[in-house]
Amino acid sequence: MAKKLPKRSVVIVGGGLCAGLVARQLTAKGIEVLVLERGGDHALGPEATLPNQRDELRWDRRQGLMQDWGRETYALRHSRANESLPIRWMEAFLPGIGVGGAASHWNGAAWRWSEYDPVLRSRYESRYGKAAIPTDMLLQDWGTTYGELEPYHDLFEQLFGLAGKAGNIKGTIQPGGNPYEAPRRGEYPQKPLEMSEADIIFQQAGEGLGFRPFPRPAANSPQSYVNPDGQRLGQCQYCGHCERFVCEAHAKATPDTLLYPMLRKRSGFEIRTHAHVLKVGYDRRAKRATGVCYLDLNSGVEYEQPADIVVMAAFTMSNTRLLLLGGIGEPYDPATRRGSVGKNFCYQTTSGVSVFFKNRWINPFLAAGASGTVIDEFNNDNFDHSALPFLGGASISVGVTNGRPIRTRSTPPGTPRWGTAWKKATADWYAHSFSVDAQGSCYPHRENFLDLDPDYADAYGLPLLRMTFDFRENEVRMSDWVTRKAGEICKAMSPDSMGPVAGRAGPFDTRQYQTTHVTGGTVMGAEPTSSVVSPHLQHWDAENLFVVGASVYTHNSGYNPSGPLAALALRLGDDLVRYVERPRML
Amino acid sequence: MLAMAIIGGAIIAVASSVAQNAPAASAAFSQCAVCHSIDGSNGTGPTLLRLIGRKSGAVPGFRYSRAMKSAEIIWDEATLDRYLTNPQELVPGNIMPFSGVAQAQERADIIAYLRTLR
Repeated sequence: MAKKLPKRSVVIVGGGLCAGLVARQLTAKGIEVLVLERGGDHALGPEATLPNQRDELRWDRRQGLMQDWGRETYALRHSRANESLPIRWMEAFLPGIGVGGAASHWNGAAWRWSEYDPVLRSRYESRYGKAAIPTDMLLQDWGTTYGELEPYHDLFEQLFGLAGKAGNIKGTIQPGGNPYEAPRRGEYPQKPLEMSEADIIFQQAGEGLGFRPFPRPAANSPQSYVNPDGQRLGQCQYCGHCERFVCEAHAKATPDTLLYPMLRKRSGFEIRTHAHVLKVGYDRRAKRATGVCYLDLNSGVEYEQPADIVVMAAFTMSNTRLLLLGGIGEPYDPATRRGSVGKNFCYQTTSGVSVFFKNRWINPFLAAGASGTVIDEFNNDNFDHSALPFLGGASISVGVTNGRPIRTRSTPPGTPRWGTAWKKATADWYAHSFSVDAQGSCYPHRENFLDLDPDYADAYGLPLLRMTFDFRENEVRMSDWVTRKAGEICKAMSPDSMGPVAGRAGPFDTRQYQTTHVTGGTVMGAEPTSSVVSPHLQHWDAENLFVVGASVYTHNSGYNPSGPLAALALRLGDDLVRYVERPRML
Repeated sequence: MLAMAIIGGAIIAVASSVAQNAPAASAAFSQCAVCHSIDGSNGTGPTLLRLIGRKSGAVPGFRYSRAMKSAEIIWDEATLDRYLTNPQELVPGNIMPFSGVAQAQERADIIAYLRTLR
């Protein structure tokens, strides 16, 4: 029997980036916020202090900062015809635990998406005709626009001290920046990070082919920085322990450095750590969320926490799972196409081509998380698809990062996979190789979705979330095409040797890391029949329930998802202030 | 001896200019402030309150590296200038994640600011 606690005004599930940003807006207006986080606090722990911070085995290989797969995992099947199996050890994507969430161990790539991303379906229909979108590709507009989010993008970039070069200021294209960038009001708060040797090689080759390379927008601080809240970042030391690690120099902009220490000093803010939310309470008749049930992992006591407003700001997968477990909204059924919870589950379509240079020193150990050089000519709908058998595209980039000794073992084709020859090749090529990567979009497919697994449960006896997912024809064709483009850039660099030029193909393999960018499941939209939450992220079937995170995206773009997610969270914070003043459908 | 004289000279020259330029001093210090408090509390780094004249590795409650614990340095203008120039050269193996301050003026500004923390 759960112990019932006194009612709170706003309860947020998950203590990551979105929760921190929502809480910043609310507590600034004197509205009380309680955040429930399943993990602990990283501050001053071994993960955040030297020398243990540099333990690649502990934090990277053994996933010391990630969801404990022995406690809660996901099930997978590649199609409805298959049986699902639980994933015993996940490499493909890495949900974080602890204050800061996955944004604590991120690399710091912080994009604004294309101006047309929120209206992607309309864009494709108007450019190529309605028939261009296959019937099983469930693209839909977000119900909001880039213009509405731009002020919040700007605020997020100031708060996180992003380093980059503007490509489009109020419609005027800027030399050195991304010419395909959505229009922004001004420059980035900080200048770009230092370029590596690989950046220089890629830039020269890209420019030689007529492309316009630019520095990747990064949340790794090139200088010490003070944000508008008076919160500080240290200077990046290019140590190469970024993604999968907590930054001990406080040079990576994260919620645990910039938001939570400040929030903890605000009256009306509380965060409970080791509070694992099991269920969101739902009153079906009143169509309202009643609060949440959570387990205190330190004491084993289960609590019921009633709330006026519940905000779901957990990882993509947890947002979807908690709605399914709570019976809130109609689960998506691919056979009938009815229902919306679990729909539009997308991932990312990545590929890469390795290049080897005998006489160039790449030094992959020396890197910031998100430093890199990118071309955007072949991303999303930045190029003409009318004669192509697919939609979408990829950003093509170099980013020599995280070149740690266990992880980074790039050897030329033909090298044996073990033994003396492999050891020698590893030593010979470690400092002389890098890869050109394509980070591709992933569009929603009718048969890619999330639901509750009928057989397998987690450590608390609750059904696992089941992924039915594979790379479908559109993504495989897109990846093949953009990877060839990446291969052409590689050839233009005149390397001594090159790895194979092969796009991403199925079956989806959870043993291979790609990105942590899983999206969808609780999508936003203007139509209650095809979306879970409104354009203001308010649940259609529970006025006082809000969902924020990449779970509200209707598709995944050829960029990292954190930028729009942060903008949506800041805007939600402002919307909730209005909602608290006068509760209603916004 | 020559190096010492130059360092000493720089400090004297700067100490007088810093008296009129407190904002520069605190601006230069901002790169330290993310880890080091000036109120006596320890964070990622030990507090820098009353640092000048203190022995290295001596703030109670802070967990220092072995290198810093055994460094036996008294923090004054000269040792701080050397340390800030290249922390790994003066105290090899220390675990401060910071590569140093290249500009002599900026180091002098930081040291001038530290002198005010009494």
